[in-house]
Amino acid sequence: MRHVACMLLLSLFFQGCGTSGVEVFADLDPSVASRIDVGSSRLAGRIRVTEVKQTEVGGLLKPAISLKSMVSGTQNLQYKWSWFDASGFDVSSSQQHWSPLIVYGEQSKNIVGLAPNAGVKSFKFHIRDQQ
Amino acid sequence: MRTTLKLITLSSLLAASACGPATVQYGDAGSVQAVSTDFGSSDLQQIAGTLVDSMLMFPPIVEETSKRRPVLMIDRVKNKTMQHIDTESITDSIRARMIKSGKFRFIDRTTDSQAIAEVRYQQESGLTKSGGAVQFGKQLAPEFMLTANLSEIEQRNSDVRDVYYKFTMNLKNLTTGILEWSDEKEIRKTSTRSMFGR
Repeated sequence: MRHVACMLLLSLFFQGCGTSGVEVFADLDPSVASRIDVGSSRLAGRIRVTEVKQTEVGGLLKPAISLKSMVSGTQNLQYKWSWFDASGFDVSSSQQHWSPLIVYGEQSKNIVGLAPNAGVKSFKFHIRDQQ
Repeated sequence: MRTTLKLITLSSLLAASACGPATVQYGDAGSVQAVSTDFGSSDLQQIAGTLVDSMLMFPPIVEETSKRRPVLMIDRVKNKTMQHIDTESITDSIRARMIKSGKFRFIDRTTDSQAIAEVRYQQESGLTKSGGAVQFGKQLAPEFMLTANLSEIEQRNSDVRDVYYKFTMNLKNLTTGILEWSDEKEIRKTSTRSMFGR
Protein backbone atom coordinates (compact mmCIF):
# COMPACT_ATOMS: atom_id res chain seq x y z
CA MET A 1 0.00 0.00 0.00
CA ARG A 2 2.81 2.38 0.92
CA HIS A 3 4.57 1.37 -2.31
CA VAL A 4 1.49 2.24 -4.39
CA ALA A 5 1.13 5.60 -2.64
CA CYS A 6 4.79 6.44 -3.40
CA MET A 7 4.35 5.54 -7.08
CA LEU A 8 1.23 7.71 -7.27
CA LEU A 9 3.01 10.67 -5.72
CA LEU A 10 5.98 10.26 -8.06
CA SER A 11 3.74 10.16 -11.14
CA LEU A 12 1.98 13.34 -10.00
CA PHE A 13 5.36 14.95 -9.44
CA PHE A 14 6.60 14.14 -12.97
CA GLN A 15 3.31 15.33 -14.48
CA GLY A 16 3.98 18.69 -12.94
CA CYS A 17 7.39 18.72 -14.60
CA GLY A 18 5.82 18.49 -18.10
CA THR A 19 6.13 21.58 -20.27
CA SER A 20 3.29 24.06 -20.23
CA GLY A 21 3.98 24.90 -23.88
CA VAL A 22 5.43 28.28 -22.94
CA GLU A 23 9.02 27.00 -22.95
CA VAL A 24 8.93 26.51 -26.72
CA PHE A 25 9.21 30.33 -27.04
CA ALA A 26 11.56 30.83 -24.10
CA ASP A 27 14.01 33.04 -26.00
CA LEU A 28 11.50 35.01 -28.04
CA ASP A 29 9.84 38.33 -27.48
CA PRO A 30 6.14 37.79 -26.53
CA SER A 31 4.96 39.85 -29.50
CA VAL A 32 6.95 37.59 -31.79
CA ALA A 33 5.89 34.43 -29.97
CA SER A 34 2.24 35.32 -30.61
CA ARG A 35 2.88 34.71 -34.31
CA ILE A 36 3.53 31.02 -33.68
CA ASP A 37 0.75 28.50 -33.19
CA VAL A 38 1.91 25.14 -31.87
CA GLY A 39 -0.71 22.43 -32.31
CA SER A 40 -0.51 20.84 -28.89
CA SER A 41 1.31 21.00 -25.58
CA ARG A 42 2.79 17.59 -26.38
CA LEU A 43 4.41 19.04 -29.51
CA ALA A 44 5.49 22.10 -27.59
CA GLY A 45 7.62 19.81 -25.44
CA ARG A 46 9.38 18.39 -28.49
CA ILE A 47 10.27 21.46 -30.53
CA ARG A 48 11.62 24.91 -29.78
CA VAL A 49 11.24 27.97 -31.97
CA THR A 50 14.63 29.66 -31.83
CA GLU A 51 14.20 32.58 -34.20
CA VAL A 52 11.50 34.44 -36.09
CA LYS A 53 12.46 37.01 -38.67
CA GLN A 54 11.02 38.71 -41.69
CA THR A 55 12.05 40.74 -44.67
CA GLU A 56 10.51 41.88 -47.97
CA VAL A 57 11.22 40.64 -51.45
CA GLY A 58 9.71 42.53 -54.35
CA GLY A 59 7.16 44.06 -51.98
CA LEU A 60 6.12 40.64 -50.67
CA LEU A 61 6.51 39.77 -47.00
CA LYS A 62 9.00 36.93 -46.48
CA PRO A 63 9.04 35.44 -42.98
CA ALA A 64 11.45 32.79 -41.75
CA ILE A 65 11.14 30.51 -38.74
CA SER A 66 14.01 28.58 -37.18
CA LEU A 67 13.09 25.66 -35.01
CA LYS A 68 14.95 22.90 -33.24
CA SER A 69 13.88 19.42 -32.30
CA MET A 70 14.36 18.69 -28.60
CA VAL A 71 14.04 14.92 -28.97
CA SER A 72 16.30 12.30 -30.47
CA GLY A 73 13.74 10.64 -32.73
CA THR A 74 12.38 11.73 -36.11
CA GLN A 75 9.24 13.83 -36.01
CA ASN A 76 6.69 13.94 -38.81
CA LEU A 77 5.06 17.34 -38.59
CA GLN A 78 2.99 19.68 -40.74
CA TYR A 79 3.08 23.46 -41.05
CA LYS A 80 1.24 26.27 -42.78
CA TRP A 81 1.16 30.06 -42.91
CA SER A 82 -1.68 32.47 -42.29
CA TRP A 83 -1.50 35.95 -43.79
CA PHE A 84 -3.03 39.19 -42.53
CA ASP A 85 -3.49 42.59 -44.11
CA ALA A 86 -2.80 45.96 -42.49
CA SER A 87 -6.18 45.85 -40.74
CA GLY A 88 -5.49 42.43 -39.25
CA PHE A 89 -7.94 40.58 -41.48
CA ASP A 90 -6.99 37.05 -42.43
CA VAL A 91 -6.40 37.16 -46.19
CA SER A 92 -5.09 33.60 -46.48
CA SER A 93 -6.58 31.86 -49.42
CA SER A 94 -9.33 29.42 -48.58
CA GLN A 95 -7.08 26.84 -50.21
CA GLN A 96 -4.26 27.44 -47.71
CA HIS A 97 -2.73 24.02 -47.27
CA TRP A 98 -0.61 22.17 -44.77
CA SER A 99 2.88 21.11 -45.88
CA PRO A 100 4.74 18.10 -44.53
CA LEU A 101 7.86 18.69 -42.44
CA ILE A 102 10.27 15.98 -41.34
CA VAL A 103 12.55 16.97 -38.48
CA TYR A 104 15.25 14.51 -37.54
CA GLY A 105 16.57 14.00 -34.02
CA GLU A 106 17.79 17.29 -32.49
CA GLN A 107 17.91 18.86 -35.94
CA SER A 108 17.53 22.58 -36.54
CA LYS A 109 15.34 23.56 -39.42
CA ASN A 110 14.59 26.83 -41.23
CA ILE A 111 11.21 27.33 -42.83
CA VAL A 112 10.72 30.23 -45.19
CA GLY A 113 7.41 31.53 -46.47
CA LEU A 114 6.32 34.16 -48.97
CA ALA A 115 3.17 36.23 -48.75
CA PRO A 116 0.73 35.69 -51.63
CA ASN A 117 0.51 39.41 -52.47
CA ALA A 118 1.79 42.84 -51.46
CA GLY A 119 -1.26 43.58 -49.30
CA VAL A 120 -0.06 41.16 -46.62
CA LYS A 121 1.53 42.93 -43.66
CA SER A 122 1.79 40.21 -41.01
CA PHE A 123 1.75 36.44 -40.67
CA LYS A 124 1.16 33.52 -38.33
CA PHE A 125 3.03 30.22 -38.46
CA HIS A 126 1.16 27.04 -37.55
CA ILE A 127 2.81 23.71 -36.76
CA ARG A 128 1.25 20.45 -35.68
CA ASP A 129 1.85 16.72 -35.53
CA GLN A 130 1.11 14.76 -38.69
CA GLN A 131 -2.61 14.01 -38.80
CA MET B 1 -22.33 -20.78 -19.08
CA ARG B 2 -23.25 -17.27 -17.94
CA THR B 3 -19.77 -16.01 -18.93
CA THR B 4 -20.08 -17.62 -22.36
CA LEU B 5 -23.47 -16.00 -22.86
CA LYS B 6 -22.04 -12.61 -21.89
CA LEU B 7 -19.16 -13.02 -24.33
CA ILE B 8 -21.51 -13.99 -27.16
CA THR B 9 -23.75 -10.96 -26.44
CA LEU B 10 -20.77 -8.60 -26.33
CA SER B 11 -19.35 -10.00 -29.61
CA SER B 12 -22.74 -9.64 -31.30
CA LEU B 13 -23.07 -6.03 -30.17
CA LEU B 14 -19.59 -5.20 -31.43
CA ALA B 15 -20.29 -6.86 -34.77
CA ALA B 16 -23.62 -5.03 -35.12
CA SER B 17 -21.98 -1.66 -34.39
CA ALA B 18 -19.66 -2.22 -37.38
CA CYS B 19 -22.62 -2.63 -39.71
CA GLY B 20 -24.82 0.15 -41.00
CA PRO B 21 -24.81 2.73 -43.82
CA ALA B 22 -21.55 4.43 -44.86
CA THR B 23 -21.11 7.94 -43.51
CA VAL B 24 -20.12 10.86 -45.68
CA GLN B 25 -18.58 14.08 -44.45
CA TYR B 26 -16.57 16.97 -45.82
CA GLY B 27 -12.80 16.73 -45.52
CA ASP B 28 -10.15 19.43 -45.33
CA ALA B 29 -8.98 20.26 -48.87
CA GLY B 30 -5.77 21.71 -47.43
CA SER B 31 -4.78 18.73 -45.34
CA VAL B 32 -1.82 16.52 -46.16
CA GLN B 33 -3.20 13.14 -47.15
CA ALA B 34 -0.68 10.49 -48.11
CA VAL B 35 -3.20 7.79 -48.97
CA SER B 36 -0.82 6.07 -51.38
CA THR B 37 2.45 6.68 -53.20
CA ASP B 38 0.50 7.85 -56.25
CA PHE B 39 0.61 11.52 -57.14
CA GLY B 40 -2.04 13.30 -55.07
CA SER B 41 -3.63 16.62 -54.20
CA SER B 42 -1.10 17.41 -51.46
CA ASP B 43 1.72 16.92 -53.94
CA LEU B 44 0.04 19.30 -56.37
CA GLN B 45 -0.35 21.95 -53.68
CA GLN B 46 3.25 21.60 -52.53
CA ILE B 47 4.57 21.93 -56.08
CA ALA B 48 2.50 24.97 -56.97
CA GLY B 49 3.36 26.74 -53.72
CA THR B 50 7.09 26.02 -53.70
CA LEU B 51 7.82 26.81 -57.33
CA VAL B 52 5.79 30.00 -57.51
CA ASP B 53 7.48 31.27 -54.33
CA SER B 54 10.87 30.41 -55.81
CA MET B 55 10.15 32.37 -58.97
CA LEU B 56 8.79 35.38 -57.09
CA MET B 57 11.94 35.54 -54.94
CA PHE B 58 14.43 35.16 -57.83
CA PRO B 59 16.29 38.50 -58.06
CA PRO B 60 16.05 39.09 -61.85
CA ILE B 61 12.29 38.32 -61.69
CA VAL B 62 11.94 40.65 -58.69
CA GLU B 63 13.64 43.38 -60.69
CA GLU B 64 11.56 42.76 -63.82
CA THR B 65 8.24 42.69 -61.94
CA SER B 66 9.08 45.78 -59.91
CA LYS B 67 8.72 47.90 -63.06
CA ARG B 68 5.79 46.21 -64.79
CA ARG B 69 3.69 43.06 -65.05
CA PRO B 70 5.13 40.77 -67.75
CA VAL B 71 2.76 38.78 -69.96
CA LEU B 72 3.17 35.01 -69.73
CA MET B 73 1.68 31.87 -71.13
CA ILE B 74 1.92 28.46 -69.53
CA ASP B 75 2.43 25.34 -71.61
CA ARG B 76 1.05 21.91 -70.84
CA VAL B 77 3.11 19.93 -68.30
CA LYS B 78 4.98 17.00 -69.84
CA ASN B 79 3.90 14.02 -67.79
CA LYS B 80 6.79 11.56 -67.85
CA THR B 81 5.33 9.34 -65.13
CA MET B 82 3.46 6.08 -65.64
CA GLN B 83 0.37 7.52 -63.94
CA HIS B 84 -2.57 9.30 -65.41
CA ILE B 85 -2.29 12.77 -63.86
CA ASP B 86 -4.42 15.76 -64.71
CA THR B 87 -1.48 18.05 -65.36
CA GLU B 88 -3.77 20.90 -66.35
CA SER B 89 -4.85 21.19 -62.72
CA ILE B 90 -1.19 21.71 -61.78
CA THR B 91 -0.78 24.52 -64.30
CA ASP B 92 -4.12 26.02 -63.25
CA SER B 93 -2.95 26.17 -59.63
CA ILE B 94 0.40 27.68 -60.62
CA ARG B 95 -1.23 30.28 -62.85
CA ALA B 96 -3.84 31.22 -60.24
CA ARG B 97 -1.15 31.69 -57.61
CA MET B 98 0.96 33.84 -59.92
CA ILE B 99 -1.97 36.02 -60.95
CA LYS B 100 -2.95 36.51 -57.29
CA SER B 101 0.55 37.80 -56.56
CA GLY B 102 -0.24 40.79 -58.76
CA LYS B 103 3.14 40.45 -60.49
CA PHE B 104 2.17 38.75 -63.75
CA ARG B 105 -0.45 38.72 -66.49
CA PHE B 106 -1.38 35.59 -68.43
CA ILE B 107 -2.54 34.72 -71.90
CA ASP B 108 -4.90 31.75 -71.93
CA ARG B 109 -4.66 29.80 -75.16
CA THR B 110 -7.07 27.08 -74.07
CA THR B 111 -10.10 29.29 -74.67
CA ASP B 112 -8.97 30.83 -77.98
CA SER B 113 -11.58 29.03 -80.08
CA GLN B 114 -14.39 30.22 -77.83
CA ALA B 115 -12.97 33.75 -77.86
CA ILE B 116 -12.77 33.76 -81.68
CA ALA B 117 -16.35 32.52 -81.95
CA GLU B 118 -17.53 35.23 -79.55
CA VAL B 119 -15.69 38.03 -81.37
CA ARG B 120 -17.05 36.85 -84.74
CA TYR B 121 -20.54 36.78 -83.28
CA GLN B 122 -20.18 40.32 -81.97
CA GLN B 123 -18.99 41.55 -85.36
CA GLU B 124 -21.37 39.62 -87.62
CA SER B 125 -24.59 39.07 -85.74
CA GLY B 126 -25.65 42.69 -85.89
CA LEU B 127 -26.75 42.54 -82.27
CA THR B 128 -23.81 44.49 -80.84
CA LYS B 129 -24.01 48.29 -80.64
CA SER B 130 -22.12 50.02 -83.44
CA GLY B 131 -18.46 50.44 -82.52
CA GLY B 132 -18.91 48.22 -79.48
CA ALA B 133 -17.74 44.93 -80.97
CA VAL B 134 -14.30 43.69 -79.95
CA GLN B 135 -11.82 43.86 -82.85
CA PHE B 136 -9.34 41.19 -83.89
CA GLY B 137 -5.63 41.96 -83.84
CA LYS B 138 -5.49 43.83 -80.54
CA GLN B 139 -4.52 41.07 -78.11
CA LEU B 140 -1.20 41.20 -76.28
CA ALA B 141 1.36 38.54 -77.14
CA PRO B 142 3.07 36.60 -74.37
CA GLU B 143 6.68 37.62 -73.66
CA PHE B 144 7.56 34.58 -71.58
CA MET B 145 6.55 30.94 -71.57
CA LEU B 146 6.39 28.62 -68.57
CA THR B 147 7.16 24.99 -69.31
CA ALA B 148 7.34 22.05 -66.95
CA ASN B 149 8.12 18.34 -66.65
CA LEU B 150 6.94 15.82 -64.09
CA SER B 151 8.94 12.63 -63.77
CA GLU B 152 9.04 9.75 -61.32
CA ILE B 153 11.55 7.11 -60.27
CA GLU B 154 10.18 4.07 -58.50
CA GLN B 155 11.99 1.47 -56.45
CA ARG B 156 10.33 -1.47 -54.82
CA ASN B 157 10.89 -4.75 -53.07
CA SER B 158 8.48 -7.16 -51.43
CA ASP B 159 7.83 -4.84 -48.47
CA VAL B 160 8.59 -1.30 -49.60
CA ARG B 161 7.51 0.88 -52.49
CA ASP B 162 9.46 4.12 -52.79
CA VAL B 163 8.47 6.72 -55.38
CA TYR B 164 10.48 9.86 -56.09
CA TYR B 165 8.78 12.67 -58.03
CA LYS B 166 10.56 15.58 -59.60
CA PHE B 167 8.72 18.56 -61.02
CA THR B 168 10.91 20.94 -63.04
CA MET B 169 9.67 24.30 -64.23
CA ASN B 170 11.36 26.78 -66.59
CA LEU B 171 10.64 30.35 -67.62
CA LYS B 172 11.71 31.06 -71.18
CA ASN B 173 12.08 34.51 -72.74
CA LEU B 174 10.28 34.20 -76.10
CA THR B 175 12.26 37.07 -77.63
CA THR B 176 15.78 36.01 -76.72
CA GLY B 177 15.24 32.28 -76.14
CA ILE B 178 17.00 32.55 -72.78
CA LEU B 179 15.82 30.53 -69.80
CA GLU B 180 15.31 33.35 -67.31
CA TRP B 181 14.47 31.09 -64.36
CA SER B 182 14.40 27.38 -63.56
CA ASP B 183 13.72 25.39 -60.42
CA GLU B 184 12.53 21.98 -59.32
CA LYS B 185 10.53 20.45 -56.51
CA GLU B 186 11.25 16.94 -55.29
CA ILE B 187 8.82 14.75 -53.41
CA ARG B 188 9.47 11.28 -52.03
CA LYS B 189 6.66 8.98 -50.91
CA THR B 190 7.27 5.62 -49.30
CA SER B 191 4.80 2.90 -48.45
CA THR B 192 5.77 0.01 -46.22
CA ARG B 193 3.80 -3.18 -46.00
CA SER B 194 2.76 -3.97 -42.44
CA MET B 195 3.63 -7.30 -40.94
CA PHE B 196 0.06 -8.52 -40.67
CA GLY B 197 -1.68 -6.72 -43.50
CA ARG B 198 -1.94 -6.42 -47.23
